[in-house]
Amino acid sequence: MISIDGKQIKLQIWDTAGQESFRSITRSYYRGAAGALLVYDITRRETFEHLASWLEDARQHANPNMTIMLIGNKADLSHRRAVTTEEGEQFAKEHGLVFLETSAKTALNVEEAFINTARAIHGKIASGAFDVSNESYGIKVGYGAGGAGAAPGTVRPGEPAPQQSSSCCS
Amino acid sequence: MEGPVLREGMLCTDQEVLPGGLSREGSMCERPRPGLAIALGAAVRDDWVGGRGAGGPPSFPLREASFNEKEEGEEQEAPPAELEDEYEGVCAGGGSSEEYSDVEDAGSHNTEVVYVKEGVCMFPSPKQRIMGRLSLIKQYRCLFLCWLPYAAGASPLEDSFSTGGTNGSSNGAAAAGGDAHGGGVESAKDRTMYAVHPIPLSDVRAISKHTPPLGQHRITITLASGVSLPSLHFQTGGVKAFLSCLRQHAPLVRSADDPNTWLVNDTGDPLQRSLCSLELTDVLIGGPPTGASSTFPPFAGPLAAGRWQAAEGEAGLRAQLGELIDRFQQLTQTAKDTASSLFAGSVLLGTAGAPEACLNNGLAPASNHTAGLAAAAEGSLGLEERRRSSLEASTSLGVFELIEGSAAEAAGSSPAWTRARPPPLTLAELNTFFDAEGRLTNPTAFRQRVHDGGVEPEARPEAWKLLLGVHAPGATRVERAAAAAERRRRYQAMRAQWRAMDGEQMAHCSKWRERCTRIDKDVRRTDRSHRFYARERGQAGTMLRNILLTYERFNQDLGYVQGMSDLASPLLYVMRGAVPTAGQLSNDEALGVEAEAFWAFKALMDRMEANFSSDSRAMTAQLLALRSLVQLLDPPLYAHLEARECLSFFFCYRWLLIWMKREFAFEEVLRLWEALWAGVPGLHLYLCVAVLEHHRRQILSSDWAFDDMLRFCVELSGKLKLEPLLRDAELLASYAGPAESAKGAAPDPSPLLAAAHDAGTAPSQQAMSAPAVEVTPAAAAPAPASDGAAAADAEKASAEVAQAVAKAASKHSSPTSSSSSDSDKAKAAAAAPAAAAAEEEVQQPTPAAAETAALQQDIGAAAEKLQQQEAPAAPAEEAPAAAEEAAPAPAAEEAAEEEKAAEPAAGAAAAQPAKQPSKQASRSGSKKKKGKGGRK
Repeated sequence: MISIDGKQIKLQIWDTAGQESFRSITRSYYRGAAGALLVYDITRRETFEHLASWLEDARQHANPNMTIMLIGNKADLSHRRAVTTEEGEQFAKEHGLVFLETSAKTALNVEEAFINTARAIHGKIASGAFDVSNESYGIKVGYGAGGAGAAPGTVRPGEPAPQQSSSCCS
Repeated sequence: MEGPVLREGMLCTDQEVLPGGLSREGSMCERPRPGLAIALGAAVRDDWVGGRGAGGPPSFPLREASFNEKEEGEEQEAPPAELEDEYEGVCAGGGSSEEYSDVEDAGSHNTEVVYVKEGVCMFPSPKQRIMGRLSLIKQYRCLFLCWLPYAAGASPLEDSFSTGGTNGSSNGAAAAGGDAHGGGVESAKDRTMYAVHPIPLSDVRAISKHTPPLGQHRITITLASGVSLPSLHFQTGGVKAFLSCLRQHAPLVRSADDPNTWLVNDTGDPLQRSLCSLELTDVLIGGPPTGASSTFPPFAGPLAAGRWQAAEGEAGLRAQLGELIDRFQQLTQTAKDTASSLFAGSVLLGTAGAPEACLNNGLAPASNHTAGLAAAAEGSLGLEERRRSSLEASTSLGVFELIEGSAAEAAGSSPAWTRARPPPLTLAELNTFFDAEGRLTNPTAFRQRVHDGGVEPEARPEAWKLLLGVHAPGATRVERAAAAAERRRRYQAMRAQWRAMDGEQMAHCSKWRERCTRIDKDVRRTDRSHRFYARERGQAGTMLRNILLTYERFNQDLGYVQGMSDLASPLLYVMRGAVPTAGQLSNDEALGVEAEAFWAFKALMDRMEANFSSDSRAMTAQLLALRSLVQLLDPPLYAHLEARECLSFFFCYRWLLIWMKREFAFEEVLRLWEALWAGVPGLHLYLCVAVLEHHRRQILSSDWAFDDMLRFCVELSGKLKLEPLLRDAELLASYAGPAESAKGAAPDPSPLLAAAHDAGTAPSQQAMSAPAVEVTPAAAAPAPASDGAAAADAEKASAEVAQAVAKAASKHSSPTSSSSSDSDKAKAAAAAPAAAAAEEEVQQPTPAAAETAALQQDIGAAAEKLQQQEAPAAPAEEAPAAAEEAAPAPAAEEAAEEEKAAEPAAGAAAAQPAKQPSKQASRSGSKKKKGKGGRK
């Protein structure tokens, strides 16, 4: 439950960790997801290289308005870094993603990752990009939000977070 | 994954099976002869419509002449038959179907050609082959079977036609329905001699199918007179399609003696008939995994053969899956009703002690509910009364007769089931299953024993090796010890392979590195909460890692896939139990444990590996099968899920993938797997159904979208009660599964464990790759009888297992079996009014619509049944809806009950629908990642 612009937003988060091998399952998570965190491990280059296929998967199976955050995790292990921050930024820019480097170990930017995602979704709702009455966008309006013209109170972005790093998800 | 080597070997056939088992190449068969359809229609009219044709019995030369006429005119233009779907050929749409419509125009409006198969031939003698067309014709609701040869010379391959073919001539004469005719020496006459002129299906007693893996598939038709017609060879495959088509129009009952034989006019128990028509287990049986042959030597042939059929590509798969679904959809209403009633019955009578047993009470209208509870409270429902109520049920629903009957039968023959559940198998008792030299004397009894009671931890290492086939069937104690030493040596060698990799080599093996990473990661999070694995980087974890890495090297085609660690972990734990040393093991001991665990894991993976295949066909097939089971057994639940786009059943994915490993407590998983390995095929699917059924009230009373449903199922983990679920799964399986009575299945004297193994467990393994194998029952059934005694043994054993489960069911329903727990009483109380109501229904025939509606009631709909008694005019279509509407009403009540009963957590968790006030929602720490909950 987080608060953005005074609106209570409940995030429902799905973690696909442990089942990356089963794309049919992860794909079922995309449906009805309003946002996604695409996570790679900055110390393992191959995880960065897999991003494109995950992104394609998400784009293909999720609704086009889904907010996707690109997360470079394990930022605490900078001495073992295999992917530079610039590369991450570049990739995000190319694909229109929001980029953050995080560390699950030190909690660096973890909150921000979710809050920024929620904020971006909220922005899309406010701008009308999401039809909140259509649940396939992954958003449900809470009962408590029934006040006059109140913005949606409950957002339920499914969060497929293809965890390609080991530490934060297990 | 696919066993390419094996497949190459098996593929050296000119046939390429198309959807539905059709052949693309058409082998040596020829093109369709549209003219024949007309001739056929004419023949039918002549012979069966009566009065339209020549009146008297038509003479063959005449008809033959008409064939020839047509042939000459049309043979050249006939379109190629090879790619033509036979169904298309049958109905409207295809090019040749115009001819059929001509037939219908010209003929009776009531005549319909429902099935046509070209290129079906007869071999009266080894040198002789007569090509022809097999068809099923429906006329005035009577079905006729017909095979007519093509005209002479139509097939160049028949040049070797010999005039002396007498082998089948007498049969042929019989085949001609007793028509007297002079079997001349002229080839045209000779071939007509064999013609099977439309014979009413009522004259057919049985149809046997022979589907050898490599040879041509054929059927043999046995007439009511006992005469068998010469076999009809389906050169391009399609026996299955034929039978499924036939099944749509006539009740086929699989013979108890021979799974390849279907009795056409079995007037026996209609229940049994409809159950047989379900053939659920057959549908669910898939192909064996690669390498199954090493575990099950006697079945290497047929099983391996099943495999290449399996690998026929997406199109074939889809068709097979389609057929699977079709088959369910094609079920007659009767079958559905019976199954539903059965299911209701099973729950009414069978689920003693289940927390959800009160479900029926919950469903009943309040008054009945109260009455039921009152009755239970008064304790007035003694054993006799409960028995009476079950008898009532039997007479009224026509459902429980089977139960009662087999209960009587079972009473003498299977004392195991006179108890609620025998104690787990101890080591001492396990030893009684061996002869002096240590051979397992009666694998079937052993499996039954394991199935019934489970195994004590002390006996598990050996029992599991027997169950999994790590121990060779029939091996003596000495041989087993030698084999174990050999396994240890091989394991050590394989483990050394990857251990010897140096850094530079590793640098070139990115795939291996990736999988190593994954294994390391997964090992660390596998069963962390269990004391055995609790210590990070402890010995157990290292051993598990070694096993998985070695398996990765052993099976590089498949490699490591997530979920495998879940399968390996209990095996390692159990094998560790074989070593008495407490605490840390010496290296030598650890190697021994690892080796045994590795081979046990390998044996398990032989069954399960299809689940992990990257194409996920096996999983898709199982999800579809599960969906079909739900559709069949619980239409309201199905409709509910359908309305919410939940029919992918992906929420059951993890259950199926690793056999509920994550859903139950560790110790329960051990018991569960034993039972599944020793149980009937597809039991794990029924278990999934049972889980859903146990929570159907919650599901029905919620408006969950897919992700809510997924969340609900994920959160069931750790909250399920194994025994009631397992029992219900077995009940379901025994009702829906093969209903062979297996009277003749004598105890298997052969010590071939593999036989029993295949019958009892391999099917579940096969089920893993369900899409793979031809969905046809017989192909998947243990093996064609012709494949040897071992196969026959397997069939027997299979039947035995089935029977045993049926007995189990009956015992559960019999009053002596169950404890008189409160829920039991309550259940019995619920059963009584339902039974009475049903009886009432029979005594006072209600309008047909209402009756149908009543029959449509599913498991939880006993209450609706009562309601319908009050309002017998309810239209049939409204019934499912009514059931759904009624469900939410008592939801709160039930939820409360459930919480009290046994599943407080589940109730609480699931009772929180997604749509709730945000204030409430705020209480659930939603920002936290789901972590483990979301996995698999």
